[in-house]
Amino acid sequence: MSVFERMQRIDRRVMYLLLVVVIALPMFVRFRLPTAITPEVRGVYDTVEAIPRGKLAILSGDWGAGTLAESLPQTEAMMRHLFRNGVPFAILPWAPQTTTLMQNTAERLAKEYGKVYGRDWVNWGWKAVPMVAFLKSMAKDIPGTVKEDYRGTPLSELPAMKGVKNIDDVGFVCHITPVGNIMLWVAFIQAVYGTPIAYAPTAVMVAQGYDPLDAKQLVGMLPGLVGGAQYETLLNDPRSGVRWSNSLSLAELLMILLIVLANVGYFASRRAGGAGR
Amino acid sequence: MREAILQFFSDPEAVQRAVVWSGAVCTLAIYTFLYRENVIYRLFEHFYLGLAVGYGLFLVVSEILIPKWWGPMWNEGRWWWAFALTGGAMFYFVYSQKHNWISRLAFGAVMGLAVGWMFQDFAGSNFPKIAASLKPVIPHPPVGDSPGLSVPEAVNNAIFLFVLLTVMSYFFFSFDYEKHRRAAKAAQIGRWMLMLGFGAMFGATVMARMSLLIGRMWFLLHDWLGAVSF
Repeated sequence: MSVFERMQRIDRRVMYLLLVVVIALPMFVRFRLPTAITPEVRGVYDTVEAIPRGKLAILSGDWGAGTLAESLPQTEAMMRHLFRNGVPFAILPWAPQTTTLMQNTAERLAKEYGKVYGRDWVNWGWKAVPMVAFLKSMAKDIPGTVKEDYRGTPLSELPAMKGVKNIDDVGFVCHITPVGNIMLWVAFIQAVYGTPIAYAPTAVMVAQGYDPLDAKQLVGMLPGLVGGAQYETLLNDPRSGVRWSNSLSLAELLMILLIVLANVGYFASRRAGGAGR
Repeated sequence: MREAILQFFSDPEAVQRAVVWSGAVCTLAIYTFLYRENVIYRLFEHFYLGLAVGYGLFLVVSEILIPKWWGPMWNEGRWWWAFALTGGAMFYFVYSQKHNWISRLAFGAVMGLAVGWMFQDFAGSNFPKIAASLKPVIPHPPVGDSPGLSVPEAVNNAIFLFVLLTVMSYFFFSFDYEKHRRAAKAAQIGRWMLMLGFGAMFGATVMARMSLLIGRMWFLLHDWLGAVSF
């Protein structure tokens, strides 16, 4: 077997091993690759900066442990920004797992920023109702729809919810999700009430976000892990997003290298008179 | 034995250690598939399926049936919730050849509700996109309240319109492409644009899959082995 044929027939297990090595490397060795800020990420940041005083932000989450590497940096970055700016926010989970994951994240960050549950953030808890029905009802009557937080405390007893009656009292929504349901927020909330909505999808769902972004239905987007890393860079507070995006960059470089290698091998072996593959 | 189990569950650190260890064992067992198909992978795949089904069932009972139906009906005297059982049971007549029509009533009601939502969903989602697709392509200075259009923005808009029109022409099947060569050319360019779009989407999918691996690697190296830190 010639060198060119070998280039096309690298054992997939060798490739997997290389992938593991390049992903693990940035976890052991700290370095920083340059992070370019895209307009869609800047759009989210600028909107959070402009949330009017006294308005509530909603962090709507639909993610679980499976997409933690993408959704957690996005969630953390959003919470850090809101805590830092003193904007009270409500966690709106669409799955039981999300209730715990987002609450744990908020509790961990609250210690750093000296924030208190109930005053600086609340967790509405998973309500097990269809999303459209909940959104339509919540838009008109938040206390009547949500009723109580995830611990069973009535909303009226939580200071962060004081004066919050309907969607007019909400200044910003960020939907963090690996699921393609952002257009429900757009159709039933943004299109009707004009509430600014940001989208934080996993990378696989990113394509779905660009047309509403172009139509100004979304104020911005955090595309996957890279979006989280960009947001951390904007906050000047590099954390897991920046760290893990280094692994992502190296993994993609490896894949590009392997694709080039196989193609060079293919064309070279054809030129040399081999059959290629 | 019973005391040892109770003692174990009363120690949060021990429980946390057990959770992390079981997570690590499951992760490694599933990843053995990368080497080749094997019995360990199959075993843990079935564990996962069983857990997922059990978890789903538990959620339905603990989060929906008891708090939203049984509790209000039995404990709070809202007897009319009993009709929900009738409504729900109607779906199961789909298995009866003779009484199939009963299930159609229930399905019809649900579909009617969904279609009503879909009208608003479609209008709210798509009409603004159609309006936003009509972009100006000639650069101009600001006029009154209307913002101006710079040359780079105009070029961007022109590219957008070119892609939009060529892709739409690909899905326009009323032309006889043998006779209308220009339309055929536009459709061919549209197909290329679609291919570029699919390529970008596939690239994003690969990126997402890598992110999943990064998450698992971090779990193994940080949570389980403690070999790396933030």
